[in-house]
Amino acid sequence: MLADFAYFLLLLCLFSSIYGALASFAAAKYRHLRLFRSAKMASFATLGLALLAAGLLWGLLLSRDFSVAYVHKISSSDLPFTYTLAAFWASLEGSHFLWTLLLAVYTAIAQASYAKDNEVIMPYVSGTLQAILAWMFYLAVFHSDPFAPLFPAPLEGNGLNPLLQNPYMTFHPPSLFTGYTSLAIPAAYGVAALFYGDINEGWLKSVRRWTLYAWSFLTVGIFLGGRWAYIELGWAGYWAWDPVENSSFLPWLLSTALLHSLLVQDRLGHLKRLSIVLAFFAFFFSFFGTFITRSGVISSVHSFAQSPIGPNYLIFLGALMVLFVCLYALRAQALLPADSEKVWGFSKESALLITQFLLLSFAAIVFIGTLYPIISESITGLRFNIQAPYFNAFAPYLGLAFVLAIGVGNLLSYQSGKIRGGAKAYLWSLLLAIAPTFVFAYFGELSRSQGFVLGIQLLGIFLCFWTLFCLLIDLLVRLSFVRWQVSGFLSRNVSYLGSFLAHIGVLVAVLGFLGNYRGLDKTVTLKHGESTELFGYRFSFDRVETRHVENMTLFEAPLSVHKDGQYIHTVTPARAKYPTSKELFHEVGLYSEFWHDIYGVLADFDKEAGKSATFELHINPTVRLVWLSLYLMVGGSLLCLLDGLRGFRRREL
Amino acid sequence: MIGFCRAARKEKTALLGLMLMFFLSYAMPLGAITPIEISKELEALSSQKQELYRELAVDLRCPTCTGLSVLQSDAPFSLQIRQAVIDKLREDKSPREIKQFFTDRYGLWILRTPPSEGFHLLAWLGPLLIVFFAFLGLWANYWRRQSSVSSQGIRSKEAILIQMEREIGLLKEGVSL
Repeated sequence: MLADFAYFLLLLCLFSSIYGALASFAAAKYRHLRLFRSAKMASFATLGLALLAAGLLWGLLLSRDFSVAYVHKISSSDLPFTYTLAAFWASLEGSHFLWTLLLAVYTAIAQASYAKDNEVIMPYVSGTLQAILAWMFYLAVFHSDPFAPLFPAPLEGNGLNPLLQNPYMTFHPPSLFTGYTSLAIPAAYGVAALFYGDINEGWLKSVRRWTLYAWSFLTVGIFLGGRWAYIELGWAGYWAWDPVENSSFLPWLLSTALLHSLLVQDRLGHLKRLSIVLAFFAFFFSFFGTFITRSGVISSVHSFAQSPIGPNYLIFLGALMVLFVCLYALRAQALLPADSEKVWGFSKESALLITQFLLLSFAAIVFIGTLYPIISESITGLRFNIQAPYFNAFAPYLGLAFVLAIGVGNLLSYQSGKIRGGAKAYLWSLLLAIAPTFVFAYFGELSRSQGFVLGIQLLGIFLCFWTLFCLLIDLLVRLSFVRWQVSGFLSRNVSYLGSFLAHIGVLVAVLGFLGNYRGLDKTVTLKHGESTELFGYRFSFDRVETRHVENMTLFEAPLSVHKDGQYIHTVTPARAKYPTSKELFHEVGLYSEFWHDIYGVLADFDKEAGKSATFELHINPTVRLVWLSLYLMVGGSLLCLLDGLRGFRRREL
Repeated sequence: MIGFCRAARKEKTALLGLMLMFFLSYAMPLGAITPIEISKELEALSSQKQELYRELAVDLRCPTCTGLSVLQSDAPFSLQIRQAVIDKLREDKSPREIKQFFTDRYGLWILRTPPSEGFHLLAWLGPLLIVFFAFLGLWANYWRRQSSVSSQGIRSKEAILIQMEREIGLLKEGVSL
């Protein structure tokens, strides 16, 4: 009954967003203000109805109404409260609905909070966003209905996939989807600028804010997914270059490129058209990712979200591309770069252009690697999946090029070959970086790698520290320019500070990747009271214990870890049994020190007496740096978002 | 789209066939190999061969999981493949021969990267070509050119304004354009 009502709400959402889209474009064509206001109201109405429908879905999940097919598919009576709430987005229909809901939220926010400057282009923005929203509601109503009934209603549900019963999985999809959906707004602004034929000052400000917002959530979402893989899948890694991981990485790369091209646009009035293209592609690839997840074209760990919705996405992606290319071809020449003198020499704008080049090359490689199985199958008839080693063959070099570009580019100035602080800054950093490189190599246990790998690692670490010192010296030089008025400098340069932090975050991440290029592992069977040694750590095993936590039964095998005779910590690798599945799932035992993660997996254990167990023990260096980099990057980007000066400043564009 | 779906099914059939081949070729009782046995046999090898084992096992895919190598997975089939790699290493086979053995038996499907020969060279050269030509394009578009005319041959707003002002000036002086 409630489900039917909710389905009706979805139908209403579809109609109101179709109306909103049509009314917006009509208002834009005839410059009709009241029609535009009505279209705006339609988007608020859509949001209200969609929120109500979402509330009903949560209600159905919590009341365990198994007469609804989706509730039956993903929940069961034993599921704890928080995971019942998160089950909303655990499978295809719900996650599609979440996406649609978030898009409705951001469509409404974008309509409610635009700058005065953008009044003239808002009808186009509103129309574009509501047209996308209408398509999403069409899919929700006709192809992936979360409220479809199930008759006769079973007494018990199938239960949530145990792999998804993890706190990181609760937040990973909403965060990623927030990033994806808010990327629609820069794209809509881009389309609006093409329609309108000009870019005004407010455009830049709004697009910059929304891109930073989307970028922050994308970054958080990607890292949460990595962290989930690290502690839930038990293979001691966090990034596998899985097709779906790649397709979340593509919008990230493109929105990063967009942020940098907006910088050139802000300062010099160049790269306007590039910004629009990047904004569109960032959005396009967020949908491309969904297409890959949903359609099963390429097999991936995310295949639990597969469905026949795929062909519809393909139509949508094709239509989007064709429409955008036509619009761009017809209208782009109206957008002219400013007539600035002395650009594109040895200067910051050239460095930013190289950054674009690197980011887009990376995106192209990831794209080729992800789609190659399809290309190969259609031409040679042979299907195989390209996996991690392929990407790992390219990624290190690009990573080091990024590091180099950050170091060189940040010290340059616009429109002149002048280097702030002089070329000395580069040379001093060369000298200063030597000592930390050796310290890092010592603590990061690089002695285990050899030959070519060691060379790349050392070079990479040295470059990272060199860049770090370049950035620090640059900060000092800037401070000396304002005669050490630190607080005044910082309050006027919030976005400089933000980008400073975010770039350091990238360096820390690269250091982390370089450090854990190769971990150390050992498989060992221990009996009651025995112990084993790995890399100076002593692991002693006592017995397997059984414990009940909420809906799962845990078989825990605590290992007490000693180093140099001193007790450090107890790691508890375990296996979890869920009532809805026969399989035993991994619960990783993890203890993080600054330099190492001690990572234990319980591979097998004696099920009768619990007196012996087989462990896979890993010592993973510098993983903590990777997680640390998230805080730096997102903190930096939020600081940029808070900067009131940037974007308000009037410039001749 | 139907093609795509069929492709997915084809992969499943291929997988079944592969599993069957494993049973036929090794005819081992199921569950005979455990991770611990593999690690014991591995320790018996020389350190040079252990390194080779790692390099080989990273390049072979786990048949039953997605995105993982046999080294990262403890699935029964991965363990059998790892066992086979160790056996071959013990017979002093070179890494090239061992890879050949696997691709002869199970097809290129078993590899995690496209081989660097024939059509599949495209997967390796494609990215490099893209990077090269993109850089060439950038250089031609931005750094080689030294004029203020945009890439589509349209002058900037300021240039147009200057021309208009000049022409208005001419009109005022009574010159007909």
